[in-house]
Amino acid sequence: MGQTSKKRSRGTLNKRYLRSLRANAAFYISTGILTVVTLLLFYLFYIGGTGILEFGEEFFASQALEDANFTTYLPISEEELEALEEEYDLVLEAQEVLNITEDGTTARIFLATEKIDLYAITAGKDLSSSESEDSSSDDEIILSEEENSSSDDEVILSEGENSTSDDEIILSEGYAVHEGIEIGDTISLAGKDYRVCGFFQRPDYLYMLENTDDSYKNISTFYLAYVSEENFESLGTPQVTYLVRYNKDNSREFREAVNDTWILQSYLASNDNMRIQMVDEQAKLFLVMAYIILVVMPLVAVVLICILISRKIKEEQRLIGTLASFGITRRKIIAHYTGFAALPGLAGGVLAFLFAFLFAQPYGELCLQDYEPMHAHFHLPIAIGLLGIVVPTLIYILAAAISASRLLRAKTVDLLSGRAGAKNHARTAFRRSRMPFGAKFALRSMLGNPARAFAVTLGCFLGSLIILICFALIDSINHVSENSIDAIGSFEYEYILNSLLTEEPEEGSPMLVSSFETESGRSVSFMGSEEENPYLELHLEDGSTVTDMDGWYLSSAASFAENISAGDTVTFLNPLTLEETEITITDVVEYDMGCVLFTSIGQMQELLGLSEGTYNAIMSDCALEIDSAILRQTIEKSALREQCDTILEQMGPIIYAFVFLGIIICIASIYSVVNMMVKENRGTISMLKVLGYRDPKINRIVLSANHLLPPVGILLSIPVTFVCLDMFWSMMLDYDVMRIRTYVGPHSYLYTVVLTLGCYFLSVALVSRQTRKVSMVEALKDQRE
Amino acid sequence: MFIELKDAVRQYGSGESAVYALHHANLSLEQGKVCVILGPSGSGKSTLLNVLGGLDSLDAGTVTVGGKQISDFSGNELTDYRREDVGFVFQFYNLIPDLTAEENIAVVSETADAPLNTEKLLQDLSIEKYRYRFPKELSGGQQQRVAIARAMVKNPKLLLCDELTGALDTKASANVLTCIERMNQEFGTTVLIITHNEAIAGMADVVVRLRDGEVVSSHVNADKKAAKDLTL
Repeated sequence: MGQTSKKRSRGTLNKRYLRSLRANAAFYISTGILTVVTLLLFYLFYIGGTGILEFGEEFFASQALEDANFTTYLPISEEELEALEEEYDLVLEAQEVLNITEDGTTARIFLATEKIDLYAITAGKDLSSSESEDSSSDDEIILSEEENSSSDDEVILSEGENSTSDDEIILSEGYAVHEGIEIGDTISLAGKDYRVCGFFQRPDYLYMLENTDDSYKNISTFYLAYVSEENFESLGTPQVTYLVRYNKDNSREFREAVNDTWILQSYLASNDNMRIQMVDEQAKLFLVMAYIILVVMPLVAVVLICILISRKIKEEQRLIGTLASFGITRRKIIAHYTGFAALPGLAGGVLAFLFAFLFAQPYGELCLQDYEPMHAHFHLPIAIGLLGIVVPTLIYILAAAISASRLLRAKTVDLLSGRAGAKNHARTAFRRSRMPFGAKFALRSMLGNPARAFAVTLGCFLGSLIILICFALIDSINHVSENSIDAIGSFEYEYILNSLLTEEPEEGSPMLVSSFETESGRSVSFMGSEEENPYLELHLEDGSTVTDMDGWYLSSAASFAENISAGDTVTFLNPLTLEETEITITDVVEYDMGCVLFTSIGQMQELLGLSEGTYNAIMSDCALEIDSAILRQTIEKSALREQCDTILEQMGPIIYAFVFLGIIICIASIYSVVNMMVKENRGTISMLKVLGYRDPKINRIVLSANHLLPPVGILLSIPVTFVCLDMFWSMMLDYDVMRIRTYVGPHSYLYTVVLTLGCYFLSVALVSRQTRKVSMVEALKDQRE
Repeated sequence: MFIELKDAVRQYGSGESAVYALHHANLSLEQGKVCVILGPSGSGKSTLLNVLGGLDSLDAGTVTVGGKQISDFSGNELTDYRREDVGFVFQFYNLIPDLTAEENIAVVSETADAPLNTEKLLQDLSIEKYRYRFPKELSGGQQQRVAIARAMVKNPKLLLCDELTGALDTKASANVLTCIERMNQEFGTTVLIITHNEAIAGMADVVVRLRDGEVVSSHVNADKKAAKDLTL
């Protein structure tokens, strides 16, 4: 009987939750919005991260992703390949490829492989085959996910046996989508027109870097393609790269054997291949961001909840005293007040969950900006959805419980008389000051409500931080593009050859380049240059020019990434010969676009054991005609600029979405707090009305209390922006070769200040309508009661 | 007449649940007089004061104060009226808690066209030594004297007092009423006091009785006493 009455009593009290919705609408809306925004971000990165990881794992397995690729100075015959496969128990295949550059756009044409790095048709159909009637049938061609009515998992396999139909071409999907090319369109390649019959993806090109040491994908002037074998042969002499899949842990022995007989020119393991690594690494980064967001973002809502609960308990101390006098325990009263905090957590959680659950696919695809248009399946697991609801709600409940228990330490007698609560000396400051009373009122109001002041500052700080970080991202990338690309000279082209030459080139300056690795595994390009290279001009960090190339000059990007300074002795590994070399760094040169060690061509020849006059690269300020048979790679400065432009183009919508998010956080937190000020100052507002003050003047007096705080929040956000972005760029340097330094342009500061202050004053303006609604008669009656 | 209330109706709710706070009430008062309005709870005293002070509006009837028909005033005109012509003293003082005694007075003096000398007011009301104190640091009587100073600093034509001794002890009440009396005599301010306390009627020129929103009697007090002589 007693139990029943207790339960009924608690249930009755809980009716207040819904009845208080209207009275505390601003609080519930603000904290609800903050919760929804937080969870949507969490779900976005979670859905995106897991979707990409799952797709990558499945796609890599089904398309037989390489474990490594390599090139050799001496060709390996078919028979030798088979012998190596047998001897080392591995899968080995030659990949023929050639690059065709026309009108600034490079097409990388492959001849289909059979065992490794198989392409997958993602739209349209594969190249028709005339080798067998069976394989030319359209029914046998595996369609893209969209067109395939069977399981999502049944994506697309080409065995690469169908390559004799003329005039057909399949293109990498990212480029086709970016350029608006549709199936059935015609494109021209080396003077011949081809009909686009399908789009494809390759497992080693999901992150579409033209060169593996590029910083960002290129889908505007670079694409992959397959044509028939006949057409491929007519396009020129292909390069041969060897693809390998190990069955055992014997890569070292295999590499040594290949180097001994055929002389390795390059060797790139898949875990060092940014085209492959970025798929998993970025997905993992998304997951880390998701969990950070889940825990950090509700902070603003937590502060608001603490303030609201404190205010509510102070307002209701007589009621609490009455409940306590009835014998209701402190724990039950605390539990009752935590219920108010749970509401926005639950409501926001359920709303965000429903949205993310129902729209998981298009929502998750927002994370695919950096990749080829993966046909990944995005979904929100129920358990993660529940976690998203439970975590913020628990955080809110905990915050409310702590806040309530602190205030409920007061004696019941004090609660009943309404005298509970700590004295706040800040509210009585400046008593002898000759300041205008309005200014004193504002200062006392601000200092006397530290939690409220903190919430406004935090809201402005977070809003300003997010906005400034977004603008600083754009500025920093632009700054690199404008300043760092030309930092080491006037060259525009760097041609990497697949042969060692000794004849002086007709044009350009000969170079000897080779890739080495630091002890941490970072790849560093060693670049040997002639003393008289007119295209290369190195500058030390103090601005002086390097005149003697016989030293070892490390680029600032490598120096920063590996924490190496001038005078340090560093051990480098030659990944081809697996020999280690110790080098003492002469100085650090200003170059952020890559991890490079510059030296003279003579020292490089000595290091690699090559005879004098040997070179394998040519540097030039104009395009050179180089036989494609000896050309391994062309590095163009314009491509670097293109990459920066692509980063900005791809990131643009996300960056501006985050700016919008910053604005929402700013407005939601400030509106809620300023709205509280109106409620707390209802008596003062009504009295000022009684005394003949007009609403605008009352607003200036009452709502100006926090005007000093937005500038504080904005100022605080500036150093934090630099710290956050420096950390971000540092982290990105682990995946990337380019070092970006944080730079914020004057216009970005201006935009941030204008947007943050705009949010603040918009919130104040929205709330100022509330002062008009304060009824003098009702407020006076309340005071009388 | 300085105050003229004609056929005033103020109704809360509608239909069967309608409650009349003022029900065809009529009242006239000359300038410079002290008027005490008596009546039980719910008789419409506070509503009458709110209407005369421009805080509330009538549903029917007219109200004229100092020749201005305030029942026809817009919101902004009523604000100007309250700022220029009316002073209020409330039962619970209604001082602004975040401002000192002096600052509470300055809130009004800063907006008045021709404010009285604050120093003199503080002295007249014997609160000059409390000027830097905050309301919560003052006794009820001291707070009420600050409230009177705040009401009087603009030199209003009409001083409206709502149960101004309701929260005070006898001594503090006498003290506060003496202050009101002095303001009336020194500045010729028309004073309207609403109260439950019959004894306060002794200091009035005119005594009005309200019941159920109607003025049931209004008579000149032939036996007017000084505030200090009242038996509170």
